Amino acid sequence: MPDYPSTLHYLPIEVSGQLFAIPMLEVAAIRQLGRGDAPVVSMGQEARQPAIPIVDLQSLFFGVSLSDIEEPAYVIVISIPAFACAVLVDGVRPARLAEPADQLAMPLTLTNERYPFRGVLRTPEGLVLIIDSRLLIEELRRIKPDLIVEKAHGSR
Amino acid sequence: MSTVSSDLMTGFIIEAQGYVISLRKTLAKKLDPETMQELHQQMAILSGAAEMLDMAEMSELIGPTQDMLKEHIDAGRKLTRKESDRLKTTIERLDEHLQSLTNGGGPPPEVAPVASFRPMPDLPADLLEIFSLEASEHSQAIQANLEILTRNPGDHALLSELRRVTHTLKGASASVGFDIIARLAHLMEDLLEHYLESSSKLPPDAIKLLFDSADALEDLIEQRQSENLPVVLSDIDARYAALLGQAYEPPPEEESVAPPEPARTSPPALPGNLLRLPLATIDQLINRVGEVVINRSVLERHLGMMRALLSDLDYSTQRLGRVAEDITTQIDMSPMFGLAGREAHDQTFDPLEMERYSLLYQHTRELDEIAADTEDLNDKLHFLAEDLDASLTREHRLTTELQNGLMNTRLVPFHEIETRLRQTVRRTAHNLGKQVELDLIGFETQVDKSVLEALADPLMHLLRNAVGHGIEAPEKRQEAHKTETGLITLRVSRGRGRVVLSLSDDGAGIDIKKIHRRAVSLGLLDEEGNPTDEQMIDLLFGEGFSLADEVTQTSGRGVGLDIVRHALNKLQGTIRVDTKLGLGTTFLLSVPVTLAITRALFIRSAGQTFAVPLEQISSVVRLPVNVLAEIGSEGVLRYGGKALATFNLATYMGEPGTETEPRYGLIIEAEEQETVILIDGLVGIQEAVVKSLGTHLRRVHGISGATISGDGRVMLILDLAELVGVEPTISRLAGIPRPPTAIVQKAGLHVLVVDDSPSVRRVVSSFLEHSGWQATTAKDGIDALEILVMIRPDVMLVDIEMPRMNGYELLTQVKSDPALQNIPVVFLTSRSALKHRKRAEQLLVDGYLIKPYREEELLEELMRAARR
Repeated sequence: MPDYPSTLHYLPIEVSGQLFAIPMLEVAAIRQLGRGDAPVVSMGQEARQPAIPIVDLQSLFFGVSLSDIEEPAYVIVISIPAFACAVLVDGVRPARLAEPADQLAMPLTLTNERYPFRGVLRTPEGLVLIIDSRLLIEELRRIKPDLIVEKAHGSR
Repeated sequence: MSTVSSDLMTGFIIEAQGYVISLRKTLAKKLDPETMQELHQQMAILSGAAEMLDMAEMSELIGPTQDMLKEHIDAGRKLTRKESDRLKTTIERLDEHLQSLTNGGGPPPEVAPVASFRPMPDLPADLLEIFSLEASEHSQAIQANLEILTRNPGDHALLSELRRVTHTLKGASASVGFDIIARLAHLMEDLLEHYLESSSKLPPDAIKLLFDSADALEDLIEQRQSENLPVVLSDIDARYAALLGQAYEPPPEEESVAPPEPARTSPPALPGNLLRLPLATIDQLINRVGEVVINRSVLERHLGMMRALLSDLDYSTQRLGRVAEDITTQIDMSPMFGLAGREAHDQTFDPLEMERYSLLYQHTRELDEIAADTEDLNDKLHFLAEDLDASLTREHRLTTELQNGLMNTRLVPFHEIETRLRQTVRRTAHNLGKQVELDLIGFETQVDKSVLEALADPLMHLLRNAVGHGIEAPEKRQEAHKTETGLITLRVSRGRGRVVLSLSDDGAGIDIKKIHRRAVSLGLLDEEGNPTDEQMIDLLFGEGFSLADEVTQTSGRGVGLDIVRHALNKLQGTIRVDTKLGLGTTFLLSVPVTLAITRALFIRSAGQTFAVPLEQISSVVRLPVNVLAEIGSEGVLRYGGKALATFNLATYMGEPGTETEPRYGLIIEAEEQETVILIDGLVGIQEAVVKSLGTHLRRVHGISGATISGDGRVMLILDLAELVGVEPTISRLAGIPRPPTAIVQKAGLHVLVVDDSPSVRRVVSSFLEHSGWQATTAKDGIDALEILVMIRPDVMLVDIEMPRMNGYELLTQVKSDPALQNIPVVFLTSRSALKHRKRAEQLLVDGYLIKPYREEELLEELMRAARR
């Protein structure tokens, strides 16, 4: 039962040497973060809060916190209806397309709220986990409500 | 300073130096939690061994850093730069301390740095890689030729070849600015030249010097940084000066070796037909071919479905033909429309009836034609299916050839690590004052490069142990009427997808009684206990188990063997030990040739299908109801005269209460005991293309990877040994203090649906599959019996009226066959009369359902029958 009925446009991101995919429709912005930059992202008028903290995805997925930001690091602003969050990743690769046949369902054992993934992609580099933005945001909200932002009504 | 025997101390220092190298290697990796864990483990072993030898300085040196690592691992924190530096410093100080112990406890001697010793030149990564590859080849050739030269010191052809290789290496190193290597190669070339010109035999000290130079070259090429290196180089330099006398030409201070003339200095050109590729490129191609293999199984599955549909179509076509024929015959024979009838009623024949006759006759003929056309189309579809089958078979052959070809490109001979192994033995023997010969057999055997790389460290560890603790000192060997030179043989052979390595020495063997005493003192065994030799030897692989406290004794193994086993487990390998006191020890290792493809048994549990590599399974047992009851009450399975611990996979994988009763048991060897993994069903054995789900999910215990099935599902590959080592209540994702709650549908049964109606088969099987169950279909009793040869369903759902063999006949066959009689049979029929039900009950039917049925009623009846 593929999660996506049609071609998926996704952004490959790199976290601790592993590739993950974020559906492009859920990527609101990509920013490069340098040493000394404030670990927050300004959300402007599209959100009720002016800024949100950047969540280190490596810390969330691998249980290790980045005390120093290794350059280059990127911030991805993920946006779904009503909510958004900003995550820090090690690398970003050019966006790609995945055919429906290459979008596979997660094995049942791993369809757990602790694994914020909605499926698996077959790619030339091997299997790549597709991040489930909704589950990710729910998890961040559970950890600390301040880590996500509630969007202003009508904004994307 | 401890008072342990010098023999034991030397052995410990060698072990510890091995750990320092491992620590440096580990530290060079990205400092993720896994690496930190690895570092901590290595430090813990080293610190434990130091404590046992009462070496307080050393354990004090390691202790604080070890504690710091532990704190960070527990808290899930990454090390800061400062803390990483502290770690690095500890390792360097550890190395210095070991050096001082080597020098008799004093501080390391002050050595004037060799004039030309300079750190590695700042080369671009690609150039450095090319140089390293080339230099490694030359270094291996030098080592291999020196080995032969030891036996034929007067072989001038060999000397000439060595001179050529050292010259080429000198040129290549100088051209990239690696002066220290160029200088060393230059000295070697001079020495060889000297003996070639004088046409004399190489004396032993010259050969020894060449060996030491080759070892130093190896260290430099591999970029093994050591504080000791300047000392070694300085010593080598002095020895060249002594041997060459006036022929010795000290190189200039700054620029030690000028690049020789272009004709002689350019790196050896690769043969025209060779192409060097990054391993990643090959891996990507293998991955792509793996995808093609998966796609092929999708096509095979579709073809199988097409064949099943064609079989249904055959049956329907036959029925259509038969019905058309019956109608035509009956119309022709009808008194109303037949010839006799027509004559008899000619006078009263209604013209309208004539028209009806004509129309009906036409429709009948049309039906005949449709039946004939359908049969024709059916035949053509059969031909097409056969063509497709043939094409797929050809594609299968081509893909297999392509896959094998690509897999072979990853294969490398064991010769690639020969130098490292010889060097390990030579250095250890030299440090311990022992004489050891290493015999390597079957090193042309090929294995996947990643497997070979992962095997190198455990092999070096076992070799160090064999020299340090197995082979006795020359005087002791003499007392034991053995030759002064000990022999270590490493034999490599290949068979059935695995490589088998046998590493044997003719040393002292392992003293089982000593292990027993040590185990009793550590509280691992009762003094009265009477374990087998095998169980005793297995203790040596336990974490931290060491014989080191018995300082008055000489032999003893243990330090680090748990690391060897751990490395082999990672490779899905095994290790076995065979020892005879006074005669020697043999370690038998077995590893797969490649980790990219594995033969796996596909199993069902908790409503899912999993793959288990075949090498993990000792045997498979079917579990009848009475045995399950026994397991339920005792928690163990009595099998082969033993009581085996059980592990219910469905309970681990599913939510409480969703698991069904297991039907099979997989017997595995894990944690030094046999365990039975209880599973719901078997699917079959297939080759699985192993795919990684990445390091993130590698932390999920018991899952070693994934594979993709023919219908495009991701199926997890289980590591059962790791799984049984985990309590089911422990979270599978580190750092999360609750057990996972996988969303598992009600785990279901495997049902064989037997009905002559394709529609009924489709509707029932589709409903069962949507309910999370598994369904296999058969179109009549004969078909069902053929299927039962291959599979064992949990329950059968059977219609009564069917062609060839009806439901009653099938039921009789099943209940009279000892192999099948335990399979419950439920009738699903439109026959509601009592006489039908009674007949079925007489034939021992397990359930009886009347069509039309309610879906919940069907599931309940099947579950009830299966529980009987």
